[in-house]
Amino acid sequence: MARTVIPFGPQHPVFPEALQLKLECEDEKVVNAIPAIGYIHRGIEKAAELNAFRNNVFLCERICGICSFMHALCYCQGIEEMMNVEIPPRAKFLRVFWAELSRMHNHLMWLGFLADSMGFESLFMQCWRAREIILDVTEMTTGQRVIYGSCSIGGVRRDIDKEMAQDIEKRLIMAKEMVDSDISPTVFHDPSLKRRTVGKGILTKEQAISLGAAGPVLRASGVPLDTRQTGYAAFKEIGFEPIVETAGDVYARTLVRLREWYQSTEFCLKSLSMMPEGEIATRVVGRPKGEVISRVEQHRGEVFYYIKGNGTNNLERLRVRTPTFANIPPLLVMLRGCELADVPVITLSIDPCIACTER
Amino acid sequence: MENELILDRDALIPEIQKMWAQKARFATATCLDLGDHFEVMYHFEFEDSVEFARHIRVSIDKDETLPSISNIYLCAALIENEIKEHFRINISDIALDYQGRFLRAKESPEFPLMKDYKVEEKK
Repeated sequence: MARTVIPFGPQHPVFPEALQLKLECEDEKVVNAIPAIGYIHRGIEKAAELNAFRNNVFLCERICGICSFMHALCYCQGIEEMMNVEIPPRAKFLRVFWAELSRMHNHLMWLGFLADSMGFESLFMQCWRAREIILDVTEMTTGQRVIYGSCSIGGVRRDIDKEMAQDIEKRLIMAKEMVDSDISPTVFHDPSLKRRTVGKGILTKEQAISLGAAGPVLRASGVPLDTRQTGYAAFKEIGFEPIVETAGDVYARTLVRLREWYQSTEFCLKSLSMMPEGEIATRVVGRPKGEVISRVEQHRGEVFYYIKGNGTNNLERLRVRTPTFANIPPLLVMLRGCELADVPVITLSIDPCIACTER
Repeated sequence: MENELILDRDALIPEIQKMWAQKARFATATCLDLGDHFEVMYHFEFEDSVEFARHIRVSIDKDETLPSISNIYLCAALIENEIKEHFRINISDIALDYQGRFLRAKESPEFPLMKDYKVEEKK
Protein backbone atom coordinates (compact mmCIF):
# COMPACT_ATOMS: atom_id res chain seq x y z
CA MET A 1 0.00 0.00 0.00
CA ALA A 2 1.20 3.52 -0.78
CA ARG A 3 2.55 5.45 2.18
CA THR A 4 1.83 9.08 2.95
CA VAL A 5 3.90 11.26 5.25
CA ILE A 6 1.73 13.56 7.34
CA PRO A 7 3.45 16.36 9.25
CA PHE A 8 1.68 16.42 12.62
CA GLY A 9 2.54 19.74 14.25
CA PRO A 10 4.60 21.74 15.16
CA GLN A 11 1.48 23.92 15.55
CA HIS A 12 -1.43 21.63 16.29
CA PRO A 13 -4.57 22.33 18.35
CA VAL A 14 -3.83 19.52 20.83
CA PHE A 15 -0.16 20.35 21.39
CA PRO A 16 0.53 22.93 24.08
CA GLU A 17 4.03 23.37 22.61
CA ALA A 18 5.90 23.12 19.34
CA LEU A 19 6.50 19.48 18.52
CA GLN A 20 6.42 17.90 15.09
CA LEU A 21 5.84 14.25 14.34
CA LYS A 22 6.38 13.11 10.79
CA LEU A 23 3.82 10.33 10.54
CA GLU A 24 4.29 7.73 7.86
CA CYS A 25 0.82 6.34 7.21
CA GLU A 26 -0.76 3.54 5.24
CA ASP A 27 -4.31 4.72 4.78
CA GLU A 28 -5.38 5.65 8.37
CA LYS A 29 -2.75 3.53 10.09
CA VAL A 30 0.52 4.98 11.37
CA VAL A 31 3.43 2.75 10.42
CA ASN A 32 6.30 4.98 11.52
CA ALA A 33 6.86 8.27 13.30
CA ILE A 34 9.90 10.53 13.33
CA PRO A 35 10.06 13.37 15.87
CA ALA A 36 11.33 16.80 14.87
CA ILE A 37 12.12 19.28 17.59
CA GLY A 38 14.40 22.30 17.85
CA TYR A 39 11.81 25.09 17.66
CA ILE A 40 12.44 26.41 21.16
CA HIS A 41 16.02 25.49 21.96
CA ARG A 42 17.44 28.29 24.13
CA GLY A 43 20.95 27.14 25.00
CA ILE A 44 20.32 27.08 28.75
CA GLU A 45 23.20 24.69 29.44
CA LYS A 46 25.60 27.21 27.90
CA ALA A 47 23.99 30.09 29.79
CA ALA A 48 24.51 28.13 33.02
CA GLU A 49 28.27 28.10 32.39
CA LEU A 50 28.28 31.89 31.97
CA ASN A 51 26.16 32.70 35.05
CA ALA A 52 27.34 32.78 38.64
CA PHE A 53 26.40 29.40 40.15
CA ARG A 54 23.98 30.99 42.65
CA ASN A 55 22.08 32.74 39.85
CA ASN A 56 21.58 29.44 38.04
CA VAL A 57 18.74 28.65 40.46
CA PHE A 58 16.67 31.29 38.68
CA LEU A 59 17.84 30.11 35.27
CA CYS A 60 16.98 26.48 36.00
CA GLU A 61 13.54 27.49 37.24
CA ARG A 62 12.92 29.01 33.85
CA ILE A 63 13.73 25.86 31.91
CA CYS A 64 10.03 25.11 32.22
CA GLY A 65 7.14 27.08 33.65
CA ILE A 66 5.22 23.99 34.67
CA CYS A 67 7.95 22.14 36.56
CA SER A 68 9.88 25.24 37.62
CA PHE A 69 10.18 24.26 41.28
CA MET A 70 11.45 20.77 40.39
CA HIS A 71 14.29 22.18 38.31
CA ALA A 72 15.33 24.56 41.08
CA LEU A 73 15.13 21.72 43.61
CA CYS A 74 17.26 19.38 41.51
CA TYR A 75 19.89 22.04 40.91
CA CYS A 76 20.03 23.17 44.56
CA GLN A 77 20.28 19.57 45.80
CA GLY A 78 23.19 18.95 43.45
CA ILE A 79 25.11 22.06 44.51
CA GLU A 80 24.43 21.31 48.20
CA GLU A 81 25.76 17.77 47.78
CA MET A 82 28.87 19.05 46.05
CA MET A 83 29.50 21.63 48.77
CA ASN A 84 28.60 19.27 51.64
CA VAL A 85 25.78 21.48 52.83
CA GLU A 86 23.14 20.00 55.13
CA ILE A 87 19.92 21.99 54.90
CA PRO A 88 17.63 22.47 57.94
CA PRO A 89 14.97 19.73 58.43
CA ARG A 90 12.14 22.27 58.11
CA ALA A 91 13.42 23.28 54.67
CA LYS A 92 13.34 19.64 53.56
CA PHE A 93 9.64 19.37 54.42
CA LEU A 94 8.86 22.68 52.76
CA ARG A 95 10.60 21.43 49.63
CA VAL A 96 8.43 18.31 49.63
CA PHE A 97 5.35 20.48 50.08
CA TRP A 98 6.06 22.68 47.05
CA ALA A 99 7.33 19.78 44.93
CA GLU A 100 4.15 17.79 45.53
CA LEU A 101 1.96 20.86 45.12
CA SER A 102 3.60 21.31 41.76
CA ARG A 103 2.83 17.68 40.86
CA MET A 104 -0.81 18.18 41.88
CA HIS A 105 -1.39 21.13 39.58
CA ASN A 106 0.55 19.47 36.78
CA HIS A 107 -1.37 16.21 36.85
CA LEU A 108 -4.68 18.07 36.75
CA MET A 109 -3.46 20.26 33.93
CA TRP A 110 -2.34 17.16 32.02
CA LEU A 111 -5.64 15.36 32.57
CA GLY A 112 -7.38 18.48 31.25
CA PHE A 113 -5.21 18.44 28.13
CA LEU A 114 -5.89 14.74 27.60
CA ALA A 115 -9.63 15.30 27.95
CA ASP A 116 -9.39 18.22 25.50
CA SER A 117 -7.51 16.05 22.98
CA MET A 118 -10.45 13.67 22.85
CA GLY A 119 -13.05 16.45 22.79
CA PHE A 120 -14.18 15.90 26.38
CA GLU A 121 -14.49 19.59 27.19
CA SER A 122 -16.46 19.28 30.43
CA LEU A 123 -13.76 17.06 31.99
CA PHE A 124 -11.13 19.50 30.77
CA MET A 125 -12.93 22.34 32.55
CA GLN A 126 -13.46 20.36 35.76
CA CYS A 127 -9.75 19.49 35.90
CA TRP A 128 -8.70 23.08 35.45
CA ARG A 129 -11.29 24.26 37.98
CA ALA A 130 -9.77 21.97 40.64
CA ARG A 131 -6.28 23.00 39.53
CA GLU A 132 -7.15 26.62 40.24
CA ILE A 133 -7.38 25.81 43.96
CA ILE A 134 -3.85 24.41 43.86
CA LEU A 135 -2.59 27.48 42.04
CA ASP A 136 -4.23 29.66 44.71
CA VAL A 137 -2.29 27.75 47.38
CA THR A 138 0.89 28.23 45.35
CA GLU A 139 0.25 31.95 45.11
CA MET A 140 -0.58 32.14 48.81
CA THR A 141 2.65 30.41 49.84
CA THR A 142 5.15 31.70 47.28
CA GLY A 143 3.57 34.89 45.98
CA GLN A 144 3.49 33.50 42.45
CA ARG A 145 1.54 30.99 40.40
CA VAL A 146 4.11 29.69 37.92
CA ILE A 147 7.72 30.42 38.85
CA TYR A 148 7.81 29.71 42.58
CA GLY A 149 11.18 31.32 43.38
CA SER A 150 11.08 29.63 46.77
CA CYS A 151 14.00 27.21 46.52
CA SER A 152 17.53 28.41 47.16
CA ILE A 153 20.94 26.87 47.70
CA GLY A 154 20.94 26.01 51.41
CA GLY A 155 17.18 25.73 51.93
CA VAL A 156 14.09 27.70 50.98
CA ARG A 157 13.23 31.39 50.88
CA ARG A 158 9.76 31.35 52.41
CA ASP A 159 8.13 29.78 55.42
CA ILE A 160 4.57 28.66 56.10
CA ASP A 161 3.12 29.60 59.48
CA LYS A 162 0.46 27.67 61.41
CA GLU A 163 -2.50 29.81 60.34
CA MET A 164 -1.52 29.52 56.72
CA ALA A 165 -1.01 25.76 57.10
CA GLN A 166 -4.59 25.41 58.42
CA ASP A 167 -5.94 27.42 55.51
CA ILE A 168 -3.94 25.28 53.05
CA GLU A 169 -5.29 22.12 54.62
CA LYS A 170 -8.87 23.33 54.08
CA ARG A 171 -8.18 24.22 50.48
CA LEU A 172 -6.47 20.91 49.70
CA ILE A 173 -9.38 19.00 51.19
CA MET A 174 -11.74 21.11 49.07
CA ALA A 175 -9.69 20.23 45.94
CA LYS A 176 -9.74 16.55 46.92
CA GLU A 177 -13.53 16.62 47.30
CA MET A 178 -13.82 18.23 43.90
CA VAL A 179 -11.63 15.55 42.31
CA ASP A 180 -13.54 12.84 44.19
CA SER A 181 -16.92 14.04 42.97
CA ASP A 182 -16.25 15.47 39.50
CA ILE A 183 -13.13 13.88 38.07
CA SER A 184 -12.39 10.43 39.49
CA PRO A 185 -15.81 8.90 38.67
CA THR A 186 -15.42 10.02 35.07
CA VAL A 187 -11.91 8.59 34.78
CA PHE A 188 -12.87 5.31 36.42
CA HIS A 189 -16.26 4.71 34.80
CA ASP A 190 -16.90 6.86 31.72
CA PRO A 191 -17.24 4.55 28.68
CA SER A 192 -16.30 7.18 26.09
CA LEU A 193 -13.05 8.02 27.93
CA LYS A 194 -12.23 4.34 28.23
CA ARG A 195 -12.97 3.74 24.54
CA ARG A 196 -10.37 6.35 23.62
CA THR A 197 -7.68 5.19 26.07
CA VAL A 198 -7.92 1.47 26.92
CA GLY A 199 -5.62 -0.59 24.71
CA LYS A 200 -4.21 2.50 22.96
CA GLY A 201 -0.50 3.23 22.69
CA ILE A 202 0.67 0.12 24.48
CA LEU A 203 4.23 0.05 25.80
CA THR A 204 5.32 -3.26 27.29
CA LYS A 205 7.52 -3.51 30.36
CA GLU A 206 10.46 -4.74 28.26
CA GLN A 207 10.03 -1.88 25.79
CA ALA A 208 9.78 0.67 28.61
CA ILE A 209 13.11 -0.50 30.03
CA SER A 210 14.96 -0.92 26.75
CA LEU A 211 13.78 2.46 25.43
CA GLY A 212 14.65 4.30 28.66
CA ALA A 213 11.13 5.48 29.55
CA ALA A 214 10.68 7.64 32.66
CA GLY A 215 8.01 8.59 35.18
CA PRO A 216 4.34 7.60 34.83
CA VAL A 217 5.08 6.16 31.36
CA LEU A 218 7.54 3.72 32.95
CA ARG A 219 5.37 2.95 35.98
CA ALA A 220 2.23 2.40 33.87
CA SER A 221 4.16 -0.39 32.15
CA GLY A 222 4.78 -2.17 35.43
CA VAL A 223 8.24 -0.86 36.38
CA PRO A 224 8.28 0.38 40.00
CA LEU A 225 10.92 3.08 39.55
CA ASP A 226 10.41 6.51 41.08
CA THR A 227 13.27 8.78 42.15
CA ARG A 228 11.39 9.64 45.34
CA GLN A 229 12.39 6.17 46.53
CA THR A 230 15.91 7.54 47.04
CA GLY A 231 14.46 9.61 49.91
CA TYR A 232 15.55 13.04 48.73
CA ALA A 233 14.28 16.13 50.61
CA ALA A 234 12.07 14.68 53.39
CA PHE A 235 10.81 11.57 51.60
CA LYS A 236 12.88 9.37 53.89
CA GLU A 237 10.89 10.65 56.90
CA ILE A 238 7.54 10.79 55.10
CA GLY A 239 7.90 7.39 53.42
CA PHE A 240 7.20 6.58 49.81
CA GLU A 241 5.87 3.73 47.66
CA PRO A 242 5.63 4.12 43.88
CA ILE A 243 2.29 3.78 42.12
CA VAL A 244 2.37 1.15 39.43
CA GLU A 245 -0.03 -0.10 36.75
CA THR A 246 0.71 -2.94 34.38
CA ALA A 247 -1.43 -2.50 31.24
CA GLY A 248 1.04 -0.06 29.62
CA ASP A 249 -1.67 1.78 27.66
CA VAL A 250 -2.96 5.37 27.74
CA TYR A 251 -5.55 4.44 30.36
CA ALA A 252 -2.90 2.93 32.66
CA ARG A 253 -0.87 6.15 32.39
CA THR A 254 -4.01 8.12 33.27
CA LEU A 255 -4.65 5.94 36.32
CA VAL A 256 -1.05 6.28 37.52
CA ARG A 257 -1.31 10.06 37.36
CA LEU A 258 -4.70 10.23 39.04
CA ARG A 259 -3.55 7.95 41.88
CA GLU A 260 -0.37 10.00 42.18
CA TRP A 261 -2.50 13.10 42.52
CA TYR A 262 -4.15 11.64 45.63
CA GLN A 263 -0.76 10.50 46.92
CA SER A 264 0.65 14.02 46.46
CA THR A 265 -2.27 15.48 48.41
CA GLU A 266 -1.32 13.18 51.30
CA PHE A 267 2.33 14.19 51.01
CA CYS A 268 1.44 17.89 51.12
CA LEU A 269 -0.72 17.39 54.21
CA LYS A 270 1.89 15.17 55.86
CA SER A 271 4.72 17.60 55.16
CA LEU A 272 2.72 20.40 56.82
CA SER A 273 1.89 18.31 59.88
CA MET A 274 5.32 16.64 60.28
CA MET A 275 7.36 19.80 59.65
CA PRO A 276 9.61 20.55 62.65
CA GLU A 277 10.13 24.09 63.95
CA GLY A 278 13.39 25.81 63.09
CA GLU A 279 15.40 27.58 60.45
CA ILE A 280 14.48 27.39 56.79
CA ALA A 281 17.93 27.96 55.28
CA THR A 282 21.62 27.49 55.98
CA ARG A 283 24.18 30.06 54.96
CA VAL A 284 26.32 28.63 52.18
CA VAL A 285 29.85 29.91 51.73
CA GLY A 286 32.46 28.87 49.21
CA ARG A 287 32.33 27.72 45.65
CA PRO A 288 31.43 24.33 44.22
CA LYS A 289 34.18 21.96 43.17
CA GLY A 290 33.80 18.40 41.93
CA GLU A 291 31.09 16.59 40.03
CA VAL A 292 27.73 15.32 41.08
CA ILE A 293 24.55 13.82 39.69
CA SER A 294 21.29 15.09 41.12
CA ARG A 295 17.89 13.62 40.37
CA VAL A 296 14.33 14.38 41.41
CA GLU A 297 11.00 12.99 40.27
CA GLN A 298 9.11 15.61 38.31
CA HIS A 299 5.49 14.88 37.52
CA ARG A 300 6.59 13.72 34.04
CA GLY A 301 9.38 11.54 35.39
CA GLU A 302 12.94 11.67 36.53
CA VAL A 303 14.88 14.87 35.83
CA PHE A 304 18.63 14.38 35.75
CA TYR A 305 21.27 17.03 36.41
CA TYR A 306 25.00 16.49 35.98
CA ILE A 307 26.87 19.36 37.60
CA LYS A 308 30.60 19.95 37.46
CA GLY A 309 32.19 22.74 39.47
CA ASN A 310 35.76 23.94 39.24
CA GLY A 311 36.07 25.98 42.43
CA THR A 312 35.20 29.28 40.70
CA ASN A 313 31.98 31.27 40.66
CA ASN A 314 31.00 29.64 37.35
CA LEU A 315 30.23 26.01 36.69
CA GLU A 316 32.35 23.95 34.34
CA ARG A 317 29.29 22.12 33.02
CA LEU A 318 25.60 21.76 33.71
CA ARG A 319 23.81 19.00 31.88
CA VAL A 320 20.05 18.59 32.12
CA ARG A 321 18.10 15.55 30.92
CA THR A 322 14.38 16.00 31.28
CA PRO A 323 11.75 13.24 31.34
CA THR A 324 10.16 14.12 28.00
CA PHE A 325 13.54 13.65 26.35
CA ALA A 326 13.55 10.12 27.75
CA ASN A 327 9.94 9.49 26.73
CA ILE A 328 10.22 10.45 23.05
CA PRO A 329 11.72 7.07 21.91
CA PRO A 330 8.95 5.12 23.75
CA LEU A 331 6.36 7.42 22.10
CA LEU A 332 7.56 6.37 18.66
CA VAL A 333 6.95 2.73 19.57
CA MET A 334 3.51 3.54 21.02
CA LEU A 335 2.50 5.27 17.79
CA ARG A 336 3.49 2.41 15.50
CA GLY A 337 0.36 0.65 14.28
CA CYS A 338 -2.13 3.11 15.82
CA GLU A 339 -4.97 4.86 14.02
CA LEU A 340 -4.29 8.42 12.90
CA ALA A 341 -7.18 9.64 15.09
CA ASP A 342 -5.45 8.23 18.19
CA VAL A 343 -2.18 10.10 17.64
CA PRO A 344 -3.17 13.17 19.76
CA VAL A 345 -4.29 11.03 22.73
CA ILE A 346 -1.24 8.75 22.60
CA THR A 347 1.17 11.66 22.21
CA LEU A 348 -0.37 13.53 25.13
CA SER A 349 -0.19 10.40 27.27
CA ILE A 350 3.56 10.98 27.72
CA ASP A 351 2.76 14.55 28.86
CA PRO A 352 5.24 16.11 26.44
CA CYS A 353 7.07 19.21 27.62
CA ILE A 354 9.16 20.57 24.80
CA ALA A 355 10.48 23.63 26.66
CA CYS A 356 12.07 21.21 29.14
CA THR A 357 13.28 18.86 26.44
CA GLU A 358 15.05 21.47 24.37
CA ARG A 359 16.26 23.69 27.18
CA MET B 1 31.70 9.25 41.10
CA GLU B 2 30.49 5.98 42.58
CA ASN B 3 29.95 2.96 40.32
CA GLU B 4 32.09 4.45 37.63
CA LEU B 5 33.84 2.45 34.97
CA ILE B 6 36.55 4.12 32.90
CA LEU B 7 37.01 2.55 29.50
CA ASP B 8 38.94 2.93 26.27
CA ARG B 9 36.96 3.77 23.18
CA ASP B 10 37.41 0.25 21.78
CA ALA B 11 35.97 -1.34 24.92
CA LEU B 12 32.80 0.79 24.83
CA ILE B 13 30.54 -1.26 22.57
CA PRO B 14 31.27 -4.64 24.26
CA GLU B 15 30.52 -3.05 27.65
CA ILE B 16 27.28 -1.51 26.37
CA GLN B 17 26.28 -4.93 25.02
CA LYS B 18 26.85 -6.33 28.51
CA MET B 19 24.58 -3.63 29.99
CA TRP B 20 21.91 -4.51 27.43
CA ALA B 21 22.21 -8.20 28.29
CA GLN B 22 21.75 -7.31 31.98
CA LYS B 23 18.58 -5.33 31.07
CA ALA B 24 20.03 -2.04 32.29
CA ARG B 25 17.96 1.04 31.51
CA PHE B 26 19.85 3.77 29.64
CA ALA B 27 19.28 7.08 31.44
CA THR B 28 21.35 9.50 29.37
CA ALA B 29 24.84 10.50 28.27
CA THR B 30 26.91 13.55 29.16
CA CYS B 31 29.74 15.04 27.14
CA LEU B 32 32.50 17.23 28.54
CA ASP B 33 35.04 19.28 26.63
CA LEU B 34 38.22 19.00 28.68
CA GLY B 35 40.42 21.14 26.45
CA ASP B 36 42.62 18.58 24.72
CA HIS B 37 40.08 15.75 24.72
CA PHE B 38 36.42 14.88 25.22
CA GLU B 39 34.91 12.77 27.93
CA VAL B 40 31.59 11.06 27.32
CA MET B 41 29.70 9.45 30.19
CA TYR B 42 26.88 6.95 29.75
CA HIS B 43 24.52 6.61 32.70
CA PHE B 44 22.55 3.41 33.34
CA GLU B 45 20.22 2.11 36.00
CA PHE B 46 18.52 -1.17 36.80
CA GLU B 47 14.85 -1.95 37.36
CA ASP B 48 15.33 -3.17 40.91
CA SER B 49 17.31 -0.15 42.04
CA VAL B 50 16.72 3.59 41.80
CA GLU B 51 20.38 4.17 42.51
CA PHE B 52 22.41 4.54 39.37
CA ALA B 53 23.93 1.22 38.59
CA ARG B 54 26.76 2.28 36.38
CA HIS B 55 28.44 5.28 34.79
CA ILE B 56 30.66 4.40 31.87
CA ARG B 57 33.24 7.07 31.13
CA VAL B 58 35.13 7.14 27.86
CA SER B 59 37.87 9.62 26.91
CA ILE B 60 38.59 10.32 23.28
CA ASP B 61 40.94 12.66 21.47
CA LYS B 62 39.32 15.50 19.62
CA ASP B 63 40.08 14.04 16.21
CA GLU B 64 38.88 10.54 17.08
CA THR B 65 35.50 9.05 16.19
CA LEU B 66 33.23 7.67 18.88
CA PRO B 67 31.08 4.66 17.95
CA SER B 68 27.35 5.17 18.45
CA ILE B 69 25.62 2.99 21.02
CA SER B 70 22.23 3.62 19.37
CA ASN B 71 22.38 0.37 17.46
CA ILE B 72 22.16 -1.33 20.87
CA TYR B 73 20.12 1.26 22.79
CA LEU B 74 17.96 2.98 20.16
CA CYS B 75 16.95 5.65 22.69
CA ALA B 76 20.57 6.87 22.79
CA ALA B 77 20.19 8.23 19.25
CA LEU B 78 18.61 11.49 20.42
CA ILE B 79 21.27 12.37 22.96
CA GLU B 80 24.02 11.36 20.53
CA ASN B 81 22.59 13.79 17.98
CA GLU B 82 22.51 16.49 20.63
CA ILE B 83 26.12 15.83 21.68
CA LYS B 84 27.23 15.88 18.07
CA GLU B 85 25.58 19.27 17.52
CA HIS B 86 26.87 20.91 20.66
CA PHE B 87 30.43 19.60 20.60
CA ARG B 88 32.72 19.20 17.63
CA ILE B 89 32.70 15.44 18.10
CA ASN B 90 32.28 12.77 15.50
CA ILE B 91 29.89 9.96 16.44
CA SER B 92 29.60 7.26 13.81
CA ASP B 93 26.58 5.22 12.70
CA ILE B 94 23.83 6.88 14.76
CA ALA B 95 20.63 4.88 14.20
CA LEU B 96 18.60 8.05 13.57
CA ASP B 97 20.96 10.76 12.32
CA TYR B 98 19.52 14.28 12.11
CA GLN B 99 22.63 15.52 10.24
CA GLY B 100 23.21 18.38 12.65
CA ARG B 101 19.59 19.58 12.69
CA PHE B 102 18.18 17.96 15.83
CA LEU B 103 18.10 20.98 18.13
CA ARG B 104 19.97 23.51 16.02
CA ALA B 105 18.58 25.58 13.18
CA LYS B 106 20.60 26.82 10.22
CA GLU B 107 21.20 30.15 11.91
CA SER B 108 22.13 28.67 15.32
CA PRO B 109 25.66 29.07 16.65
CA GLU B 110 27.95 26.15 15.89
CA PHE B 111 29.18 23.88 18.69
CA PRO B 112 28.21 26.27 21.51
CA LEU B 113 29.27 23.97 24.34
CA MET B 114 32.89 23.77 23.20
CA LYS B 115 35.25 25.56 25.55
CA ASP B 116 36.71 27.60 22.67
CA TYR B 117 33.27 28.93 21.71
CA LYS B 118 33.24 32.70 22.01
CA VAL B 119 30.07 34.27 23.37
CA GLU B 120 29.25 37.60 21.76
CA GLU B 121 28.95 40.42 24.27
CA LYS B 122 25.63 42.26 24.28
CA LYS B 123 25.99 45.86 23.10
